[in-house]
Amino acid sequence: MTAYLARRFLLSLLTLWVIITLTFVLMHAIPGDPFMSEARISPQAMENLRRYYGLDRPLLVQYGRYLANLARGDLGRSLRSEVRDINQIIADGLPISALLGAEALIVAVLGGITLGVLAALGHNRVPDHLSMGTAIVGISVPGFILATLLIDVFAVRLGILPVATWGTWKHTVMPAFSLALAPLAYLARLTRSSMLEELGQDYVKAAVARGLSRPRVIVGHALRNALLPVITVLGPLTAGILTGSFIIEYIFGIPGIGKIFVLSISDRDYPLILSGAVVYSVLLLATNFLVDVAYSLVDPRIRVLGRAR
Amino acid sequence: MTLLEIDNLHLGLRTADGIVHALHGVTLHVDEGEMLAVVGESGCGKTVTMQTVLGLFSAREIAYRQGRIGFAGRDLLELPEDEMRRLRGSQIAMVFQDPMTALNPTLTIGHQIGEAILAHRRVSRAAAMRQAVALLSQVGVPQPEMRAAQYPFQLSGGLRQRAVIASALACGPRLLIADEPTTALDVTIQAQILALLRSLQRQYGMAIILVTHDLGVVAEMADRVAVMYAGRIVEEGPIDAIFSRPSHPYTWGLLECLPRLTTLRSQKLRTIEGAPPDLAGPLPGCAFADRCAHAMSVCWEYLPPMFDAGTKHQSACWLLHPHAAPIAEATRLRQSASAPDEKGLPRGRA
Repeated sequence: MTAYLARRFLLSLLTLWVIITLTFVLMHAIPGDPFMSEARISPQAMENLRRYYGLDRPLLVQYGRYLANLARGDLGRSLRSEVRDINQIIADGLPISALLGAEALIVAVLGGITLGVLAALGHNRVPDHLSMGTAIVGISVPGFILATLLIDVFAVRLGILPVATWGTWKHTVMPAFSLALAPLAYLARLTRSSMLEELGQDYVKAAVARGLSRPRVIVGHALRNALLPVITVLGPLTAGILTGSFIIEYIFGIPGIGKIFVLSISDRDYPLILSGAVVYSVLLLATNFLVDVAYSLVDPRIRVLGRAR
Repeated sequence: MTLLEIDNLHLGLRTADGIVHALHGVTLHVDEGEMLAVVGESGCGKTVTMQTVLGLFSAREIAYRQGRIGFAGRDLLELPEDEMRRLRGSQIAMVFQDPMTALNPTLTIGHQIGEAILAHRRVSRAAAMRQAVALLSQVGVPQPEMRAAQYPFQLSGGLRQRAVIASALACGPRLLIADEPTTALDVTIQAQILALLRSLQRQYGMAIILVTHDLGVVAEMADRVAVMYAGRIVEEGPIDAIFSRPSHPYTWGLLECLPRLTTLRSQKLRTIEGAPPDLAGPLPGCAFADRCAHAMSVCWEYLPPMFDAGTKHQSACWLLHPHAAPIAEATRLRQSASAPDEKGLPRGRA
């Protein structure tokens, strides 16, 4: 297991390096530079700015310098934002985005699995149609439309939740739900089909034939196995929730990192763009890694065979 | 003493393609401690009958259900689900066809045997696990402690089937239904599993219904045989009678299909021409009539009742009607089955 973990870690580092390199190349391929939008600036001042930030050096040197700093844990300095230290920007924004993402993930997982199981147990009957109807709405309606609808109903008309910004738990309800709906719907559909498949398996019939009660058969046998594919998609799903948070944070005016990184691209804030790539890649690699570990814990076929190898 | 008595069981199942009339009046009984073989080709309703006995079809799957399934003085079709649950696994247990799929791949063998005990007895989990290990050793699994802690994919097919049998035996059932227990196994393993079932039957004194399409298995194991065709029992009798004096053309066909030691390599194996009828539509007469070489016009019009064909031997064929003409074929087959000569050909007059 240790060897496996070490190999996975090295592979993750390699992936991270590839992502940084690609991002570096791509962002310098975008026309323009960070100071283009400065209205009146003398060529001399522009020259000074570029030299100050090292943008006058060859790209390869800039690239090497960035990697060297990154290796020391220094993400560099933002060219545009008020707080210049990117490490500080992330330390301020990441906990907020992470909390929002975690809330959305919990809502999506619990809600999605519950809806999916109910749909499978009431296959082709009212619970199934209700759950799948909800799921179709959830997949079809984009988060930002849901967000504005929620604001209109719960904040403007009913006045029970704050319109926007960040502060108490009440501020998190609408953004978390807007963020959660699409993945919730996706999980509901996945759980339903996976559960239906397991319920039709011989071992379920065999468990019934042993005299187990219906709840025991459903939870102890069918659901257990039906959740394996659900765990598999949790990695990519977390990615979806994280990237989705860009828009939601923007709508609700939440000071998370999503908004900061979106703006960094139009600003050509090179160090900040790279930092965004680094932060999100690390998050994704970490969740995928956790999912793999979780999967091997749940499925003995992977755990035991992995140990033997 | 009769243990299980199925009386005129009709069953229709809802499927994606509409209602399938799976059982057309199955009548069958099993005595305490005996081994009954139920024989028939795929889709004839053997498994459906057995799963109906255990109540494994949900109310939503069942389009209609009539008849009676008497077990130890009670009608299983009338039992509420909760009592049915208490009966499953403790009084009537089932061994499924494919041990690859009948075990949950993500739970240990011990867990799956233990849960059968925990479902019916008030014992601790640890006690149930100890008993599971004991059961494994009883069904001939070497190193039972180690095996109990393993997962199904770590066991061979034969060992898995032994584990499935152990889980069926967990509460000492009075009736064990073995639904093609050897079909998915290698031939050498088949013999071991059958021998195991026979020794367990003696040991536990339980009745066994052995569902199979393999007449070779039947000849070795069973006390009585019931031949099933298209959702109905067409012939039923003691093992000797079925093999030496078969009286239903379908049974003749089945026996003729058996390869013999004297069958030459160049000879094609015999088959019964045609296919079983579609169970989605109505069947007024005998379901076998279309494939039967001796069918008379009455066969398509009226359902043959059970005629006596010997002691405790019955057959649903119009040929047994007192007014039906005797059939040379029957005579020939009886003789060849009872005393085949070296060439496998019938002796004497045909």
